[in-house]
Amino acid sequence: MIFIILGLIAASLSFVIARAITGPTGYDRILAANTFGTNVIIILCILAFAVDDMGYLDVAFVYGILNFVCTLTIARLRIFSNFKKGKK
Amino acid sequence: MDILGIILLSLGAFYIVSGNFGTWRFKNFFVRLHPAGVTDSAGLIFTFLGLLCFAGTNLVIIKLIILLFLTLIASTTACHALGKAKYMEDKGKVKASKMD
Repeated sequence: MIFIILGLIAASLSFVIARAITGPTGYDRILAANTFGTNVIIILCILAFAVDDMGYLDVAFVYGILNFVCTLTIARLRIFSNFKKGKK
Repeated sequence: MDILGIILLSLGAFYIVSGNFGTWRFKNFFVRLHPAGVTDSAGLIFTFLGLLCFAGTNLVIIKLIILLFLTLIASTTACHALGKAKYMEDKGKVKASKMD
């Protein structure tokens, strides 16, 4: 049963990949990358219980932190145009 | 407890699949933020509550709860930052450079 749920989520990732390829603007691509990262975290956590190996949870931590830093860095770079504090 | 876990996992999978489909289907960028937020919040919460029903030891439970709150805060903050950046560029408050 848990493998069916896993396959369903993994198959629905094709919509996100299609949005990342055909996104009209760059923001759509970043949003698709963010959604993809969240889906990968969920898939890793379900996979840890499906194969009964809890080492996958530690990999999910790294994915979560890297996903957050990547998206927030690009958004801040777009607003401030550089990484100096408070300068537009 | 296993039946409850399967039900919660199925509910979370429904939210995740509908969120991913909405990311492909909706028209505008600001409208597309909504299914991304559904995937980040509702699907994540229900899936992790379903996985907590299967968790055996205390270490796994603590790891799952920490990962739930980290992802819950991080993903919604990232969605807000993306929406703010797009809004400020549309209003002309920042200089638009080529990103497409």
